Amino acid sequence: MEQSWQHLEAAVTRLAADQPFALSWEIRAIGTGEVIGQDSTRAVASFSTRKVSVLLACLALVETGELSLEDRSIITEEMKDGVQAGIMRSLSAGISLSLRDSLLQMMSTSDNICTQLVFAAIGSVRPDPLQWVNDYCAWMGLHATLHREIFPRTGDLTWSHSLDTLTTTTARDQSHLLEQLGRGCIDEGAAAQLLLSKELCEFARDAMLGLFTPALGVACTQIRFAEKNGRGLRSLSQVGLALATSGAPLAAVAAYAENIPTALPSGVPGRVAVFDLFAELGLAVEEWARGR
Amino acid sequence: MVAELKMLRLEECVSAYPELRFAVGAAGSAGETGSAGSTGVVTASHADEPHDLAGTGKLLLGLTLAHLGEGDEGLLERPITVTAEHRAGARTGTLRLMTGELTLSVDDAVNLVLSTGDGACVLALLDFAAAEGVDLLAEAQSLIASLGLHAVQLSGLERDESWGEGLIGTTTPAATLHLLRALGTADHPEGRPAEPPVVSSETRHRVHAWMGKVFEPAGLASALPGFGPKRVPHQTLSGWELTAAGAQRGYSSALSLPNQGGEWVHVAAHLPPSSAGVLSPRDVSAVLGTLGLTAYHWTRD
Repeated sequence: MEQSWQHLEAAVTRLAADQPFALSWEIRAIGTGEVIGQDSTRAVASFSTRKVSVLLACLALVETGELSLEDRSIITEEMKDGVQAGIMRSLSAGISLSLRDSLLQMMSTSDNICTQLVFAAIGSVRPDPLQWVNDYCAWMGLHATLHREIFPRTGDLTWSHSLDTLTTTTARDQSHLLEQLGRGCIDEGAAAQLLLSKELCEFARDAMLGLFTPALGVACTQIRFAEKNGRGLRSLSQVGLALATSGAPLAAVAAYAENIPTALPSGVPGRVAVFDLFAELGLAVEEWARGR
Repeated sequence: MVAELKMLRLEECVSAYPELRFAVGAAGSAGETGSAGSTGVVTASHADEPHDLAGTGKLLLGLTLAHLGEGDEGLLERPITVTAEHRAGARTGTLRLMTGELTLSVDDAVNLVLSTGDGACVLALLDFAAAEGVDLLAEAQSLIASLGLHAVQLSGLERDESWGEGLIGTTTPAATLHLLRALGTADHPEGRPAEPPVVSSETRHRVHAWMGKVFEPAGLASALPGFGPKRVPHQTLSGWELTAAGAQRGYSSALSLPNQGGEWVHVAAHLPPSSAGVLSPRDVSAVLGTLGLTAYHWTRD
Protein backbone atom coordinates (compact mmCIF):
# COMPACT_ATOMS: atom_id res chain seq x y z
CA MET A 1 0.00 0.00 0.00
CA GLU A 2 1.52 3.31 -1.01
CA GLN A 3 2.39 5.82 1.67
CA SER A 4 -0.16 8.47 0.72
CA TRP A 5 -2.94 5.85 0.85
CA GLN A 6 -1.86 4.95 4.38
CA HIS A 7 -1.86 8.63 5.27
CA LEU A 8 -5.42 8.91 3.97
CA GLU A 9 -6.52 5.98 6.10
CA ALA A 10 -4.88 7.48 9.17
CA ALA A 11 -6.37 10.90 8.45
CA VAL A 12 -9.94 9.66 8.06
CA THR A 13 -9.62 7.34 11.06
CA ARG A 14 -8.50 10.35 13.08
CA LEU A 15 -11.43 12.43 11.79
CA ALA A 16 -13.91 9.70 12.70
CA ALA A 17 -12.53 9.23 16.20
CA ASP A 18 -14.08 11.03 19.14
CA GLN A 19 -17.09 12.27 17.20
CA PRO A 20 -20.36 12.33 19.14
CA PHE A 21 -21.89 10.04 16.51
CA ALA A 22 -21.02 6.77 14.78
CA LEU A 23 -19.33 6.94 11.39
CA SER A 24 -19.03 4.06 8.97
CA TRP A 25 -17.00 4.76 5.87
CA GLU A 26 -15.16 3.24 2.94
CA ILE A 27 -12.89 4.65 0.25
CA ARG A 28 -11.82 2.76 -2.87
CA ALA A 29 -9.16 3.92 -5.28
CA ILE A 30 -10.51 3.56 -8.80
CA GLY A 31 -9.07 0.62 -10.64
CA THR A 32 -6.29 -0.31 -8.17
CA GLY A 33 -8.17 -2.61 -5.80
CA GLU A 34 -7.10 -0.55 -2.78
CA VAL A 35 -9.82 -0.23 -0.14
CA ILE A 36 -9.82 1.38 3.28
CA GLY A 37 -12.68 1.86 5.71
CA GLN A 38 -14.15 1.41 9.12
CA ASP A 39 -17.38 -0.30 10.15
CA SER A 40 -18.17 -0.33 6.44
CA THR A 41 -20.43 -3.37 6.61
CA ARG A 42 -22.73 -1.87 9.26
CA ALA A 43 -26.31 -1.75 7.98
CA VAL A 44 -27.54 1.84 7.83
CA ALA A 45 -30.57 3.67 6.50
CA SER A 46 -29.57 4.82 3.05
CA PHE A 47 -32.03 7.69 2.70
CA SER A 48 -31.28 9.51 -0.55
CA THR A 49 -27.89 7.95 -1.19
CA ARG A 50 -30.01 5.07 -2.54
CA LYS A 51 -30.77 7.28 -5.54
CA VAL A 52 -27.41 6.45 -7.11
CA SER A 53 -28.62 2.88 -7.55
CA VAL A 54 -32.09 4.04 -8.59
CA LEU A 55 -30.47 6.28 -11.22
CA LEU A 56 -28.30 3.47 -12.59
CA ALA A 57 -31.14 0.90 -12.54
CA CYS A 58 -33.30 3.31 -14.54
CA LEU A 59 -30.50 4.08 -16.99
CA ALA A 60 -30.07 0.34 -17.56
CA LEU A 61 -33.57 0.40 -19.07
CA VAL A 62 -32.58 3.37 -21.21
CA GLU A 63 -29.63 1.33 -22.41
CA THR A 64 -31.94 -1.49 -23.50
CA GLY A 65 -34.11 1.00 -25.36
CA GLU A 66 -37.15 0.28 -23.22
CA LEU A 67 -37.10 3.80 -21.79
CA SER A 68 -36.02 7.06 -23.42
CA LEU A 69 -34.58 10.03 -21.59
CA GLU A 70 -37.03 12.12 -23.61
CA ASP A 71 -40.14 10.33 -22.25
CA ARG A 72 -42.35 12.90 -20.51
CA SER A 73 -44.47 12.79 -17.35
CA ILE A 74 -46.68 15.30 -15.58
CA ILE A 75 -46.49 16.17 -11.89
CA THR A 76 -49.84 15.75 -10.15
CA GLU A 77 -51.06 17.20 -6.86
CA GLU A 78 -51.24 13.72 -5.32
CA MET A 79 -47.49 13.24 -5.78
CA LYS A 80 -46.79 15.99 -3.23
CA ASP A 81 -48.26 13.96 -0.38
CA GLY A 82 -45.63 13.21 2.25
CA VAL A 83 -42.75 14.67 0.21
CA GLN A 84 -40.14 16.50 2.30
CA ALA A 85 -37.27 16.74 -0.17
CA GLY A 86 -36.83 18.73 -3.34
CA ILE A 87 -38.22 21.79 -5.05
CA MET A 88 -41.17 20.50 -7.07
CA ARG A 89 -43.45 20.14 -4.01
CA SER A 90 -43.56 23.95 -3.76
CA LEU A 91 -44.60 24.44 -7.37
CA SER A 92 -48.00 24.14 -9.01
CA ALA A 93 -49.12 20.72 -10.25
CA GLY A 94 -49.22 20.19 -14.01
CA ILE A 95 -45.53 20.75 -14.75
CA SER A 96 -44.28 18.37 -17.45
CA LEU A 97 -40.79 16.88 -17.15
CA SER A 98 -38.73 14.58 -19.33
CA LEU A 99 -37.23 11.47 -17.74
CA ARG A 100 -33.82 13.09 -18.21
CA ASP A 101 -34.90 16.12 -16.18
CA SER A 102 -36.61 13.99 -13.53
CA LEU A 103 -33.36 12.06 -13.06
CA LEU A 104 -31.35 15.28 -12.88
CA GLN A 105 -33.67 16.81 -10.24
CA MET A 106 -33.73 13.54 -8.29
CA MET A 107 -29.96 13.78 -8.02
CA SER A 108 -29.56 17.58 -7.69
CA THR A 109 -32.19 18.47 -5.09
CA SER A 110 -33.08 14.89 -4.10
CA ASP A 111 -36.56 15.73 -5.34
CA ASN A 112 -38.94 12.99 -4.25
CA ILE A 113 -41.65 13.99 -6.69
CA CYS A 114 -39.09 13.33 -9.41
CA THR A 115 -38.16 10.08 -7.65
CA GLN A 116 -41.79 9.04 -8.00
CA LEU A 117 -41.69 9.94 -11.71
CA VAL A 118 -38.55 7.83 -12.14
CA PHE A 119 -40.14 4.83 -10.42
CA ALA A 120 -43.28 5.35 -12.54
CA ALA A 121 -41.11 5.27 -15.66
CA ILE A 122 -39.46 2.02 -14.52
CA GLY A 123 -42.92 0.70 -13.67
CA SER A 124 -44.09 1.41 -17.21
CA VAL A 125 -41.79 -1.33 -18.49
CA ARG A 126 -41.33 -3.57 -15.44
CA PRO A 127 -44.17 -5.02 -13.33
CA ASP A 128 -42.56 -4.13 -9.98
CA PRO A 129 -40.21 -1.14 -10.20
CA LEU A 130 -38.91 -1.54 -6.64
CA GLN A 131 -38.02 -5.17 -7.36
CA TRP A 132 -36.23 -4.07 -10.53
CA VAL A 133 -34.02 -1.76 -8.48
CA ASN A 134 -33.42 -4.50 -5.91
CA ASP A 135 -32.55 -6.99 -8.64
CA TYR A 136 -30.18 -4.48 -10.21
CA CYS A 137 -28.44 -3.94 -6.86
CA ALA A 138 -28.06 -7.70 -6.39
CA TRP A 139 -26.60 -8.08 -9.89
CA MET A 140 -24.09 -5.33 -9.13
CA GLY A 141 -22.94 -7.03 -5.93
CA LEU A 142 -24.73 -4.76 -3.44
CA HIS A 143 -25.67 -7.71 -1.30
CA ALA A 144 -26.45 -5.69 1.84
CA THR A 145 -28.75 -3.19 0.12
CA LEU A 146 -32.54 -3.50 0.33
CA HIS A 147 -34.83 -0.92 -1.27
CA ARG A 148 -38.07 -0.97 0.68
CA GLU A 149 -39.93 2.14 -0.43
CA ILE A 150 -40.36 4.54 -3.36
CA PHE A 151 -39.46 7.37 -1.02
CA PRO A 152 -39.32 7.54 2.80
CA ARG A 153 -41.91 9.67 4.59
CA THR A 154 -39.36 11.27 6.87
CA GLY A 155 -41.95 13.70 8.23
CA ASP A 156 -43.65 10.74 9.93
CA LEU A 157 -40.46 9.42 11.53
CA THR A 158 -39.15 10.06 15.02
CA TRP A 159 -35.44 10.40 15.81
CA SER A 160 -35.37 6.87 17.25
CA HIS A 161 -37.18 5.24 14.32
CA SER A 162 -36.65 1.61 13.36
CA LEU A 163 -34.88 0.57 10.14
CA ASP A 164 -37.50 -2.08 9.41
CA THR A 165 -39.43 -0.21 6.74
CA LEU A 166 -36.59 1.87 5.33
CA THR A 167 -34.11 1.21 2.56
CA THR A 168 -30.88 -0.02 4.10
CA THR A 169 -27.37 -0.30 2.74
CA THR A 170 -23.72 -0.19 3.83
CA ALA A 171 -20.80 2.09 3.11
CA ARG A 172 -19.15 -0.91 1.41
CA ASP A 173 -22.04 -1.43 -1.02
CA GLN A 174 -22.17 2.23 -1.99
CA SER A 175 -18.43 2.65 -2.49
CA HIS A 176 -18.45 -0.57 -4.52
CA LEU A 177 -21.18 0.80 -6.81
CA LEU A 178 -19.43 4.14 -7.24
CA GLU A 179 -16.13 2.43 -7.98
CA GLN A 180 -17.90 0.55 -10.78
CA LEU A 181 -19.41 3.80 -12.02
CA GLY A 182 -16.01 5.47 -12.02
CA ARG A 183 -14.54 2.67 -14.12
CA GLY A 184 -17.61 2.77 -16.38
CA CYS A 185 -16.89 6.40 -17.20
CA ILE A 186 -13.56 5.47 -18.76
CA ASP A 187 -14.07 1.95 -20.02
CA GLU A 188 -16.89 0.50 -22.16
CA GLY A 189 -16.34 -2.96 -20.69
CA ALA A 190 -16.75 -1.69 -17.15
CA ALA A 191 -19.84 0.25 -18.25
CA ALA A 192 -21.31 -2.92 -19.71
CA GLN A 193 -20.91 -4.63 -16.34
CA LEU A 194 -23.29 -1.96 -15.01
CA LEU A 195 -25.62 -2.76 -17.96
CA LEU A 196 -24.85 0.73 -19.26
CA SER A 197 -22.83 2.44 -21.95
CA LYS A 198 -19.88 4.69 -21.17
CA GLU A 199 -22.04 7.61 -22.28
CA LEU A 200 -24.76 6.73 -19.75
CA CYS A 201 -22.15 6.31 -17.01
CA GLU A 202 -20.95 9.82 -17.84
CA PHE A 203 -24.56 11.04 -17.69
CA ALA A 204 -24.87 9.56 -14.17
CA ARG A 205 -21.57 11.12 -13.09
CA ASP A 206 -22.60 14.51 -14.45
CA ALA A 207 -25.98 14.30 -12.73
CA MET A 208 -24.10 13.80 -9.47
CA LEU A 209 -21.87 16.79 -10.20
CA GLY A 210 -25.01 18.94 -10.07
CA LEU A 211 -25.80 18.26 -6.41
CA PHE A 212 -27.28 21.46 -4.97
CA THR A 213 -25.75 20.91 -1.53
CA PRO A 214 -22.27 19.44 -2.02
CA ALA A 215 -20.52 18.30 1.15
CA LEU A 216 -17.48 16.19 0.27
CA GLY A 217 -16.30 18.64 -2.38
CA VAL A 218 -17.49 21.85 -0.76
CA ALA A 219 -14.02 22.96 0.36
CA CYS A 220 -11.93 21.27 -2.36
CA THR A 221 -10.13 23.34 -4.96
CA GLN A 222 -8.04 20.77 -6.83
CA ILE A 223 -10.44 17.87 -7.22
CA ARG A 224 -14.22 17.66 -7.65
CA PHE A 225 -16.78 15.26 -6.26
CA ALA A 226 -19.74 13.84 -8.15
CA GLU A 227 -21.79 13.23 -5.03
CA LYS A 228 -25.14 12.43 -3.46
CA ASN A 229 -26.37 13.19 0.01
CA GLY A 230 -28.71 11.35 2.33
CA ARG A 231 -30.66 12.96 5.16
CA GLY A 232 -32.56 11.08 7.81
CA LEU A 233 -33.75 12.08 11.25
CA ARG A 234 -30.65 10.91 13.13
CA SER A 235 -28.42 10.20 10.17
CA LEU A 236 -26.59 12.06 7.44
CA SER A 237 -24.66 10.42 4.65
CA GLN A 238 -22.61 11.42 1.67
CA VAL A 239 -21.34 9.25 -1.16
CA GLY A 240 -19.22 10.50 -4.01
CA LEU A 241 -16.81 9.91 -6.82
CA ALA A 242 -13.65 12.00 -6.52
CA LEU A 243 -12.58 13.35 -9.90
CA ALA A 244 -9.39 15.00 -11.12
CA THR A 245 -9.83 18.36 -12.84
CA SER A 246 -9.48 16.40 -16.08
CA GLY A 247 -12.55 14.40 -15.08
CA ALA A 248 -10.57 11.23 -14.47
CA PRO A 249 -12.11 9.21 -11.59
CA LEU A 250 -9.82 8.93 -8.58
CA ALA A 251 -11.71 7.34 -5.71
CA ALA A 252 -15.14 6.24 -4.55
CA VAL A 253 -16.14 7.52 -1.12
CA ALA A 254 -19.06 6.55 1.11
CA ALA A 255 -19.64 7.90 4.61
CA TYR A 256 -22.61 7.30 6.92
CA ALA A 257 -23.01 9.20 10.18
CA GLU A 258 -25.53 7.62 12.52
CA ASN A 259 -27.16 8.50 15.84
CA ILE A 260 -26.29 12.16 15.40
CA PRO A 261 -27.44 14.09 18.48
CA THR A 262 -29.85 16.89 17.67
CA ALA A 263 -27.41 19.26 19.37
CA LEU A 264 -23.93 19.04 20.84
CA PRO A 265 -23.43 19.98 24.50
CA SER A 266 -22.24 23.39 23.28
CA GLY A 267 -25.58 24.03 21.58
CA VAL A 268 -24.25 23.60 18.05
CA PRO A 269 -26.71 21.50 16.00
CA GLY A 270 -25.32 17.99 15.58
CA ARG A 271 -25.76 18.08 11.82
CA VAL A 272 -23.31 20.99 11.56
CA ALA A 273 -20.54 18.83 13.06
CA VAL A 274 -21.31 16.12 10.49
CA PHE A 275 -21.13 18.51 7.55
CA ASP A 276 -17.79 19.79 8.87
CA LEU A 277 -16.58 16.19 9.02
CA PHE A 278 -17.71 15.50 5.44
CA ALA A 279 -15.86 18.61 4.24
CA GLU A 280 -12.71 17.47 6.06
CA LEU A 281 -13.09 14.01 4.56
CA GLY A 282 -13.20 15.55 1.08
CA LEU A 283 -10.08 17.58 1.85
CA ALA A 284 -8.30 14.43 3.04
CA VAL A 285 -9.09 12.72 -0.26
CA GLU A 286 -7.84 15.81 -2.10
CA GLU A 287 -4.59 15.67 -0.13
CA TRP A 288 -4.18 12.00 -1.08
CA ALA A 289 -4.89 12.78 -4.74
CA ARG A 290 -2.21 15.47 -4.75
CA GLY A 291 0.35 13.06 -3.33
CA ARG A 292 -0.25 10.23 -5.76
CA MET B 1 -9.36 22.76 7.90
CA VAL B 2 -12.83 24.20 7.56
CA ALA B 3 -14.00 26.97 9.85
CA GLU B 4 -16.21 25.85 12.70
CA LEU B 5 -19.39 27.33 14.05
CA LYS B 6 -18.95 29.35 17.24
CA MET B 7 -21.30 29.76 20.16
CA LEU B 8 -21.33 33.49 20.90
CA ARG B 9 -23.47 36.16 22.40
CA LEU B 10 -24.86 38.69 19.96
CA GLU B 11 -22.51 41.49 21.00
CA GLU B 12 -19.52 39.13 20.70
CA CYS B 13 -20.13 38.69 16.98
CA VAL B 14 -18.77 42.20 16.41
CA SER B 15 -15.29 41.35 17.70
CA ALA B 16 -15.31 37.72 16.55
CA TYR B 17 -15.92 38.72 12.94
CA PRO B 18 -14.58 42.26 12.48
CA GLU B 19 -15.12 42.20 8.72
CA LEU B 20 -18.74 41.07 8.93
CA ARG B 21 -21.30 43.80 8.31
CA PHE B 22 -24.60 43.15 9.97
CA ALA B 23 -27.66 44.51 11.70
CA VAL B 24 -30.07 42.71 14.02
CA GLY B 25 -33.40 44.34 14.68
CA ALA B 26 -36.62 43.61 16.47
CA ALA B 27 -39.95 45.29 16.95
CA GLY B 28 -40.14 47.07 20.27
CA SER B 29 -36.59 46.13 21.19
CA ALA B 30 -34.76 47.77 24.07
CA GLY B 31 -32.44 49.40 21.65
CA GLU B 32 -35.20 51.11 19.74
CA THR B 33 -35.26 54.88 20.12
CA GLY B 34 -39.00 55.20 19.78
CA SER B 35 -38.72 58.13 17.43
CA ALA B 36 -40.43 58.21 14.06
CA GLY B 37 -37.11 57.39 12.51
CA SER B 38 -36.45 54.47 14.80
CA THR B 39 -34.67 51.55 13.27
CA GLY B 40 -35.31 48.87 15.89
CA VAL B 41 -31.63 47.94 15.73
CA VAL B 42 -30.47 45.72 18.58
CA THR B 43 -26.89 45.12 17.50
CA ALA B 44 -25.02 46.25 14.42
CA SER B 45 -21.55 46.40 12.94
CA HIS B 46 -20.59 48.43 9.86
CA ALA B 47 -24.32 48.39 9.13
CA ASP B 48 -24.27 51.55 7.04
CA GLU B 49 -21.40 50.50 4.79
CA PRO B 50 -22.60 49.89 1.22
CA HIS B 51 -22.08 46.51 -0.38
CA ASP B 52 -23.08 44.64 -3.50
CA LEU B 53 -26.58 43.19 -3.26
CA ALA B 54 -24.72 39.87 -3.44
CA GLY B 55 -27.69 37.57 -2.87
CA THR B 56 -30.39 39.96 -1.66
CA GLY B 57 -31.29 41.40 -5.06
CA LYS B 58 -33.77 38.55 -5.45
CA LEU B 59 -35.78 39.85 -2.50
CA LEU B 60 -36.22 43.20 -4.24
CA LEU B 61 -37.10 41.43 -7.50
CA GLY B 62 -39.72 39.26 -5.79
CA LEU B 63 -41.13 42.19 -3.86
CA THR B 64 -41.41 44.28 -7.03
CA LEU B 65 -43.22 41.51 -8.93
CA ALA B 66 -45.56 40.84 -6.01
CA HIS B 67 -46.28 44.58 -5.81
CA LEU B 68 -46.98 44.71 -9.55
CA GLY B 69 -49.31 41.74 -9.13
CA GLU B 70 -51.57 43.85 -6.91
CA GLY B 71 -52.34 46.24 -9.74
CA ASP B 72 -52.59 43.56 -12.40
CA GLU B 73 -54.78 40.72 -11.22
CA GLY B 74 -53.60 37.39 -12.55
CA LEU B 75 -50.07 38.59 -13.30
CA LEU B 76 -48.45 36.12 -10.93
CA GLU B 77 -50.49 33.22 -12.26
CA ARG B 78 -49.51 33.79 -15.89
CA PRO B 79 -47.32 31.09 -17.49
CA ILE B 80 -43.74 31.71 -18.46
CA THR B 81 -41.42 29.34 -20.28
CA VAL B 82 -37.85 28.69 -19.18
CA THR B 83 -35.95 28.09 -22.41
CA ALA B 84 -32.55 26.71 -23.36
CA GLU B 85 -31.33 30.30 -23.73
CA HIS B 86 -32.37 31.12 -20.17
CA ARG B 87 -30.66 27.99 -18.88
CA ALA B 88 -27.50 28.79 -20.79
CA GLY B 89 -27.30 32.19 -19.12
CA ALA B 90 -27.98 30.88 -15.62
CA ARG B 91 -25.02 30.63 -13.26
CA THR B 92 -27.06 29.43 -10.27
CA GLY B 93 -30.00 27.19 -9.47
CA THR B 94 -31.02 23.76 -10.63
CA LEU B 95 -33.15 24.40 -13.72
CA ARG B 96 -29.94 25.16 -15.65
CA LEU B 97 -29.07 21.47 -15.29
CA MET B 98 -32.24 20.46 -17.10
CA THR B 99 -32.70 20.16 -20.82
CA GLY B 100 -36.26 20.65 -22.01
CA GLU B 101 -38.38 23.77 -21.96
CA LEU B 102 -40.27 24.16 -18.71
CA THR B 103 -43.49 26.12 -18.37
CA LEU B 104 -44.46 27.38 -14.94
CA SER B 105 -46.32 30.31 -13.40
CA VAL B 106 -44.69 33.64 -12.55
CA ASP B 107 -45.41 32.85 -8.89
CA ASP B 108 -43.61 29.50 -9.13
CA ALA B 109 -40.67 31.09 -10.96
CA VAL B 110 -40.23 33.73 -8.24
CA ASN B 111 -40.54 30.95 -5.68
CA LEU B 112 -37.57 29.17 -7.30
CA VAL B 113 -35.60 32.42 -7.43
CA LEU B 114 -35.99 33.06 -3.70
CA SER B 115 -35.73 29.41 -2.67
CA THR B 116 -32.87 28.23 -4.89
CA GLY B 117 -31.49 31.39 -6.53
CA ASP B 118 -32.53 30.07 -9.91
CA GLY B 119 -30.87 32.15 -12.62
CA ALA B 120 -32.84 30.54 -15.46
CA CYS B 121 -36.09 31.63 -13.82
CA VAL B 122 -34.70 35.14 -13.35
CA LEU B 123 -33.92 35.48 -17.06
CA ALA B 124 -37.35 34.09 -17.97
CA LEU B 125 -38.99 36.58 -15.58
CA LEU B 126 -37.00 39.49 -17.04
CA ASP B 127 -38.09 38.48 -20.56
CA PHE B 128 -41.67 38.15 -19.36
CA ALA B 129 -41.64 41.62 -17.82
CA ALA B 130 -40.14 43.14 -20.96
CA ALA B 131 -42.79 41.45 -23.11
CA GLU B 132 -45.47 42.87 -20.82
CA GLY B 133 -44.00 46.34 -21.27
CA VAL B 134 -42.96 46.56 -17.62
CA ASP B 135 -39.78 48.48 -16.78
CA LEU B 136 -38.76 46.34 -13.80
CA LEU B 137 -35.79 48.51 -12.87
CA ALA B 138 -37.92 51.66 -12.75
CA GLU B 139 -40.64 49.84 -10.81
CA ALA B 140 -38.13 48.54 -8.28
CA GLN B 141 -36.52 51.97 -7.90
CA SER B 142 -39.92 53.56 -7.34
CA LEU B 143 -40.84 50.95 -4.74
CA ILE B 144 -37.63 51.31 -2.73
CA ALA B 145 -38.04 55.10 -2.79
CA SER B 146 -41.56 54.70 -1.42
CA LEU B 147 -40.18 52.50 1.34
CA GLY B 148 -37.55 55.08 2.23
CA LEU B 149 -34.70 52.73 1.36
CA HIS B 150 -32.39 55.57 0.37
CA ALA B 151 -29.23 53.51 0.83
CA VAL B 152 -30.30 51.09 -1.88
CA GLN B 153 -28.91 52.00 -5.28
CA LEU B 154 -30.23 49.94 -8.18
CA SER B 155 -28.13 50.31 -11.30
CA GLY B 156 -29.49 47.72 -13.71
CA LEU B 157 -30.89 44.31 -14.47
CA GLU B 158 -29.05 41.07 -15.07
CA ARG B 159 -29.11 40.54 -18.81
CA ASP B 160 -27.06 37.85 -20.55
CA GLU B 161 -26.23 35.92 -17.42
CA SER B 162 -27.91 35.61 -14.06
CA TRP B 163 -26.68 34.79 -10.58
CA GLY B 164 -30.26 34.48 -9.41
CA GLU B 165 -30.66 38.15 -8.55
CA GLY B 166 -32.42 39.98 -11.37
CA LEU B 167 -31.49 43.38 -9.99
CA ILE B 168 -27.95 44.77 -9.82
CA GLY B 169 -26.88 47.40 -7.31
CA THR B 170 -25.80 48.10 -3.77
CA THR B 171 -27.41 48.20 -0.36
CA THR B 172 -26.40 48.24 3.31
CA PRO B 173 -27.23 45.82 6.13
CA ALA B 174 -29.24 48.64 7.75
CA ALA B 175 -31.29 49.09 4.58
CA THR B 176 -31.93 45.35 4.25
CA LEU B 177 -33.01 45.27 7.88
CA HIS B 178 -35.33 48.20 7.18
CA LEU B 179 -36.80 46.24 4.26
CA LEU B 180 -37.30 43.11 6.38
CA ARG B 181 -39.09 45.21 8.99
CA ALA B 182 -41.28 46.78 6.30
CA LEU B 183 -42.24 43.26 5.31
CA GLY B 184 -42.84 42.61 9.03
CA THR B 185 -45.14 39.68 9.42
CA ALA B 186 -47.72 38.62 6.90
CA ASP B 187 -50.36 40.51 8.88
CA HIS B 188 -48.49 43.54 10.14
CA PRO B 189 -45.62 45.70 8.95
CA GLU B 190 -43.35 46.78 11.80
CA GLY B 191 -42.12 50.16 12.94
CA ARG B 192 -44.29 53.08 11.90
CA PRO B 193 -45.37 52.39 8.34
CA ALA B 194 -46.77 55.01 6.02
CA GLU B 195 -50.57 55.13 5.83
CA PRO B 196 -51.65 53.32 3.79
CA PRO B 197 -48.67 50.93 3.99
CA VAL B 198 -46.52 50.83 0.84
CA VAL B 199 -46.42 47.04 1.01
CA SER B 200 -49.88 45.58 1.24
CA SER B 201 -50.89 42.62 3.34
CA GLU B 202 -51.33 40.57 0.15
CA THR B 203 -47.80 41.31 -0.99
CA ARG B 204 -46.36 40.57 2.44
CA HIS B 205 -48.19 37.23 2.40
CA ARG B 206 -46.66 36.40 -0.99
CA VAL B 207 -43.12 37.34 0.00
CA HIS B 208 -43.37 35.52 3.32
CA ALA B 209 -44.60 32.40 1.54
CA TRP B 210 -41.59 32.52 -0.80
CA MET B 211 -39.12 33.17 2.04
CA GLY B 212 -40.55 30.28 4.02
CA LYS B 213 -39.68 27.69 1.38
CA VAL B 214 -35.93 28.19 0.90
CA PHE B 215 -34.22 24.97 -0.10
CA GLU B 216 -31.31 23.96 2.17
CA PRO B 217 -30.16 27.51 3.00
CA ALA B 218 -26.42 27.92 3.45
CA GLY B 219 -26.21 31.39 5.04
CA LEU B 220 -27.67 32.86 8.22
CA ALA B 221 -30.20 30.01 8.45
CA SER B 222 -27.66 27.24 7.91
CA ALA B 223 -27.07 26.42 11.58
CA LEU B 224 -30.51 27.00 13.07
CA PRO B 225 -31.60 24.28 15.49
CA GLY B 226 -33.27 21.26 13.96
CA PHE B 227 -32.59 17.82 12.59
CA GLY B 228 -33.65 15.87 9.54
CA PRO B 229 -36.17 17.96 7.63
CA LYS B 230 -37.21 19.83 10.79
CA ARG B 231 -36.03 23.39 11.56
CA VAL B 232 -37.18 26.08 13.94
CA PRO B 233 -39.59 28.50 12.19
CA HIS B 234 -37.76 31.05 10.09
CA GLN B 235 -37.69 32.86 6.78
CA THR B 236 -34.65 33.49 4.66
CA LEU B 237 -33.27 33.74 1.12
CA SER B 238 -31.17 31.45 -1.00
CA GLY B 239 -27.80 33.20 -0.99
CA TRP B 240 -24.49 33.16 -2.80
CA GLU B 241 -22.68 30.98 -0.31
CA LEU B 242 -22.13 28.22 -2.85
CA THR B 243 -21.36 30.43 -5.84
CA ALA B 244 -18.24 31.71 -7.50
CA ALA B 245 -19.80 35.18 -7.59
CA GLY B 246 -19.56 35.41 -3.82
CA ALA B 247 -15.80 35.18 -3.94
CA GLN B 248 -15.79 38.35 -6.05
CA ARG B 249 -18.68 40.34 -4.64
CA GLY B 250 -19.29 38.96 -1.15
CA TYR B 251 -22.15 37.12 0.48
CA SER B 252 -25.33 38.77 1.69
CA SER B 253 -27.93 36.94 3.73
CA ALA B 254 -31.25 37.73 5.39
CA LEU B 255 -33.11 35.97 8.19
CA SER B 256 -36.33 36.52 10.10
CA LEU B 257 -37.24 34.56 13.23
CA PRO B 258 -40.13 34.75 15.69
CA ASN B 259 -39.14 35.32 19.30
CA GLN B 260 -40.91 33.67 22.24
CA GLY B 261 -43.54 36.41 22.23
CA GLY B 262 -44.30 35.81 18.57
CA GLU B 263 -42.66 39.05 17.44
CA TRP B 264 -40.19 38.79 14.60
CA VAL B 265 -36.48 39.41 14.87
CA HIS B 266 -34.67 40.24 11.64
CA VAL B 267 -31.02 39.84 10.67
CA ALA B 268 -29.26 41.30 7.63
CA ALA B 269 -25.60 40.50 7.02
CA HIS B 270 -22.88 40.83 4.42
CA LEU B 271 -19.54 39.07 4.45
CA PRO B 272 -17.15 40.93 2.13
CA PRO B 273 -15.13 38.95 -0.41
CA SER B 274 -11.71 37.78 0.73
CA SER B 275 -12.59 38.07 4.41
CA ALA B 276 -9.89 36.66 6.64
CA GLY B 277 -10.02 32.90 7.03
CA VAL B 278 -12.93 32.47 4.66
CA LEU B 279 -11.78 30.14 1.92
CA SER B 280 -14.70 27.88 1.09
CA PRO B 281 -18.49 27.92 1.12
CA ARG B 282 -18.32 25.95 4.36
CA ASP B 283 -16.31 28.79 5.92
CA VAL B 284 -18.89 31.34 4.74
CA SER B 285 -21.67 29.34 6.33
CA ALA B 286 -19.67 29.02 9.56
CA VAL B 287 -19.56 32.82 9.90
CA LEU B 288 -23.10 33.58 8.76
CA GLY B 289 -24.45 30.48 10.52
CA THR B 290 -22.84 31.58 13.79
CA LEU B 291 -24.61 34.95 13.57
CA GLY B 292 -27.93 33.29 12.68
CA LEU B 293 -27.69 30.79 15.54
CA THR B 294 -26.65 33.56 17.91
CA ALA B 295 -29.69 35.61 16.86
CA TYR B 296 -31.89 32.57 17.42
CA HIS B 297 -30.57 32.09 20.95
CA TRP B 298 -31.09 35.81 21.59
CA THR B 299 -34.78 35.37 20.68
CA ARG B 300 -35.00 32.68 23.38
CA ASP B 301 -33.47 34.85 26.14
